[in-house]
Amino acid sequence: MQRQGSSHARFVAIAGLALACLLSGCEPRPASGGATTGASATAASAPTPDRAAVARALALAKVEGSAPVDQEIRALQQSVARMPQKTDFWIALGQKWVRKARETTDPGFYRSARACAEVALDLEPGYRLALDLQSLVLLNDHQFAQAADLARDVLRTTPDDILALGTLSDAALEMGRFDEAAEAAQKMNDLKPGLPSYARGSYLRWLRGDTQQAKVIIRQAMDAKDPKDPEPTAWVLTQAALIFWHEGDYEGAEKGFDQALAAVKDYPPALVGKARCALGLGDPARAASLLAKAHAESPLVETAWLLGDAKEAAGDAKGAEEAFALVVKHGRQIDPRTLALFYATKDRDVDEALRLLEAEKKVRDDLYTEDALGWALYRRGRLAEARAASERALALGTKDARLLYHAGAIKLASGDKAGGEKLVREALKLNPAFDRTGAAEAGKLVGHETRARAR
Amino acid sequence: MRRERALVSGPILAATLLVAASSIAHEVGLSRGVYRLEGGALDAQLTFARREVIGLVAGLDENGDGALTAAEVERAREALTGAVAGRIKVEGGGGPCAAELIAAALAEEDGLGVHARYRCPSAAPELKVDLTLLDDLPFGHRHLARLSGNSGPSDALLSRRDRRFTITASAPRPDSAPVPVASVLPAPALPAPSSPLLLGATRALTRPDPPLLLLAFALGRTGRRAIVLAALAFVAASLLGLVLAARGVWAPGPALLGPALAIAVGYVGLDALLREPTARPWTMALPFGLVQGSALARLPEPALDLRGSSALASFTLGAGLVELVLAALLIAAVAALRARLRRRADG
Repeated sequence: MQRQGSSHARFVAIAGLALACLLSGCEPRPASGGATTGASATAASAPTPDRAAVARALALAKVEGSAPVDQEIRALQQSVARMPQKTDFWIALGQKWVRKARETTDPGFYRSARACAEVALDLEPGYRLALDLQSLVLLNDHQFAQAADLARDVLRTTPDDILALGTLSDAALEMGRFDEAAEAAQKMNDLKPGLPSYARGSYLRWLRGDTQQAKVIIRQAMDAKDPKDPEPTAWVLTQAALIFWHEGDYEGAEKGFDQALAAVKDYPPALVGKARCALGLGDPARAASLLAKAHAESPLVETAWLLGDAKEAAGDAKGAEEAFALVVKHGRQIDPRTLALFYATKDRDVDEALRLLEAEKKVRDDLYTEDALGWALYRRGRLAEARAASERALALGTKDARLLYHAGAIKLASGDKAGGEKLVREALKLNPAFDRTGAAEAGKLVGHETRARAR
Repeated sequence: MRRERALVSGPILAATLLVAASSIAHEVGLSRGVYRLEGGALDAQLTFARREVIGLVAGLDENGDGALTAAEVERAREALTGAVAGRIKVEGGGGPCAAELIAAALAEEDGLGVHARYRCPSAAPELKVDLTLLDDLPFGHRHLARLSGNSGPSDALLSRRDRRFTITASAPRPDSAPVPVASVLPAPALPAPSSPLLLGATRALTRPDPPLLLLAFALGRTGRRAIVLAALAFVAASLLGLVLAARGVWAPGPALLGPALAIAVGYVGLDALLREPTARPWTMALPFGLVQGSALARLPEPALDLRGSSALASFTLGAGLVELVLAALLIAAVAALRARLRRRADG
């Protein structure tokens, strides 16, 4: 018996050994091939530093520049170098990286913020402020469900965590859970009224179609600005100006964008907003110039699309093609929903648009995803499905000319002439320059004999 | 016996968890590279998340299923040369350096590894490197570069806005912006080994396979003398394997090495368990020692060139001493455990 037991023990041990080896491939870290030297022994895989070393390298990446945030990051990096066990320093550093990401509109800095959260969580598992930071980064990475779950976890133990409420509100909105988003924003406002809660409240009101109340609340957000922190000010001014742009008040909106640019020089969202106004005011050359500047700073897919439209309107067909090529290239990499809407709007690659949107709906199911899906289905001639998606997109009563035009065109194609024309006219009246392609099509639909479009 | 099983399997379970926990998934938005300047050529070992490189290299994912196979990677060598190796511009020694794709293969988890070499017109003490590749990756992508010179490695975090660095044979030096993070990193708890002897010792200590294989030998059913002979044969073969691999004479490919080591451990264990005791267990130790020695030669940090005779001798000595000590400790520990259990069983 003893012999049998001993053999069994050895078998367990040996099986464990083999398993350990198989799990690791017996290559604990890298396969640099450095010392094997000969080409025959070349390894294609670079050394993989362990996660902690990578996190520290990202968190402690050197920053140049003399902006206040750069100075704060450098000071905090010195603090964590002196006292690496102090989690609060890592959190403060992570928050500065978030600020840097917002100010520069470079999402790569969120990676450093996440690294700070990882280091802090290594030091103190479950640390609430680190979880807040992590959920914020997840939100930025479009991992909405994970961000919301993490925020809910935090709120279970700390129901008055303002940051978690903000993250939950934003993530829920992206996932199409308007009521949950509104509830979190309301609670945030009850606990600590301020720029972040007012700005969310204003946007939620606007989505509900209550433009007047949205303006009132955004004014409160502007009043709550911190003069020492210009980026949130620029952001809220941009949001306010966009409400005016959606109403077709291009001159009024441009003043708002100018104020945002006064708060933060060359702030890309404000440059894009100003360009939208220039397009609305019939000045595509100026719009192209503003958009080129914005795109150089922050190469978003939507900015490239607008740049292409502006260049096309200004007669620069080659420049427009180049910009549209960037929409496709970067859309596939980082923003499939905007690429899908671009395809559907331009009536090209509709099958790819539908594929992209079906995948997008799994992670982001808000009204703008529904709208894009409805429009792609319309282009494909699947009118019943298009109409259902479009109705879901308009369920809140949002006064967005693009949504109204899409809904109207789909209704017209489905045979509802009166209802369709009403929506298309409403779209053109609300914001006649909502989109170069869409507005032109809308004009044709109501200016000429309307004709159902079915394939 | 339950006690013996617990004593033996406890550390093994811990080792398993430790090894499993150390593997890292490759993040989208972050790539890594190790750059080494030697003999007028720059050696670059890059790793990307597969999902990201699919978007970077047209036609790489032939069937468009979003996943990569080894065959797809092999067929895309030309595309990888153009889109990855060729998009790292290296200049020095009187002009631009020619890019050559040495190898590309699927890396652990969801990564893709690319090994490129840049040959310059003449040997240069420093090279300027421009990762124009970052223009093709999404805005916000970060590249964590480890620059290895003779004075040791330093890290640089590169982005589209700061994508250049200078590497020197003696001391790596960044050009601008987010570069060496090593300078602000907290001091490590233990100093990194600087001599080949210490590096060899550390390498043998930190790899999981030497103690695992030696433990498997120690657990064998043969007599103590045979076990000691097997362990000595294993260490000798391991050092021979190390020298052969470092000299570029013979080494299994990276794809074979892991499975070969796993098979070695499994085989040694099963042999000890199932076969009758043999008078010559060392015959089995020789081939497995050779394979394990090849793995020892694969340095985690290419900070040390093992082609020099003295460096290689020191490295081998360090690794050999550690393996011998490990063998002695493990054999003694297993023998002591067995004696104790026997005493307990007897009375």
